[in-house]
Amino acid sequence: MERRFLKKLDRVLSNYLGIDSELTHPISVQIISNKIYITNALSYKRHKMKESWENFSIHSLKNTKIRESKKLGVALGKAIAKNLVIKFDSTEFSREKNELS
Amino acid sequence: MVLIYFFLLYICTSNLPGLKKGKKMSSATPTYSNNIHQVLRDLFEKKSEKDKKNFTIYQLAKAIDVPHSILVKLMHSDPAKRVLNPRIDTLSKIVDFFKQDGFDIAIDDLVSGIKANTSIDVSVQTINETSEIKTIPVYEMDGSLQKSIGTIRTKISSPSGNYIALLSDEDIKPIFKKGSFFIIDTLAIPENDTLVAVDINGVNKIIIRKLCIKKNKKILISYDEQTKPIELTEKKKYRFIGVVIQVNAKT
Repeated sequence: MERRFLKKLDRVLSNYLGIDSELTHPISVQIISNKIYITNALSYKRHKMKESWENFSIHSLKNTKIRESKKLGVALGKAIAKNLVIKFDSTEFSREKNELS
Repeated sequence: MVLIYFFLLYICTSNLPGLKKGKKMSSATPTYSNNIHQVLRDLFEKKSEKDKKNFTIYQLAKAIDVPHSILVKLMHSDPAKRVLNPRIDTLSKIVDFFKQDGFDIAIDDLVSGIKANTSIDVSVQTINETSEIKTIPVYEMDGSLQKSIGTIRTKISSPSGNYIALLSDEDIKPIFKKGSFFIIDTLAIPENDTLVAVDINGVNKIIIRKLCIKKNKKILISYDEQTKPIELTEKKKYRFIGVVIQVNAKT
């Protein structure tokens, strides 16, 4: 019971003080030899790290805040081509049913 | 007591670099673009250093089976005597040769010039919060565009245009997985460095590539190093479907 209470208290105080759980904060996007690299930082960690897009998309993208991932999409679009924006939110796709005449 | 503990913890952790969000990265090395002759001269120098002996134009010409005179004109120090729009297959042969020798070079480095690894700061990017949701017809990439397979509802950040979406049936480099939606403005004019959707006669599907326009030459470049660039000529019958303005990427 004490543990549960302390957990709740921890959550309330973390929210109040703005201390995030471990999130990824993308800092910059680079293209090196046709490959995308993301430099990012983790909450509570001192160093920045550069990782390939393949690793970032699997491990770190899901831990990125929505607003930051939107900015990341804009930055990625700029890195890849002119006037391009990338979005990572799920897309509402309605497939057409095949109507047999 | 607990409150004091958390307060102290907050004070200590707020000084950690990882928590300083929105901290601006120092701006990256500025972009510069070199002409082909300069890029080639750099490559020759690096190869000579690597092999510890002078690498000559004659050796390259022999290795890639291209006339020596062509390479001399490509690298001439006098701009008046220099060839400014070489054939794409000559550039491909040069790139393939240096790649096999272990150099990290792509055709885009020669065509557009080497950019000094510019990095783009994420935090300074702006998001268009006022973009409206549009319903866009979706087509497959088989080239027909005759019957849509469905619709998507998505926010579009660009101003007005005529939009269609292509559902990718394969991974498209550099980052787009199969199942991503490429949103195309069919009214936008394909410009240099835009991502375009093109229907080429003889190719069974619509291809999505970066367009490079240099000296009136239009070249479609892929981020996939295994894929050769395509030069769009009058002989090659092709049609621009439009410019890709947004990708709803599958992750």
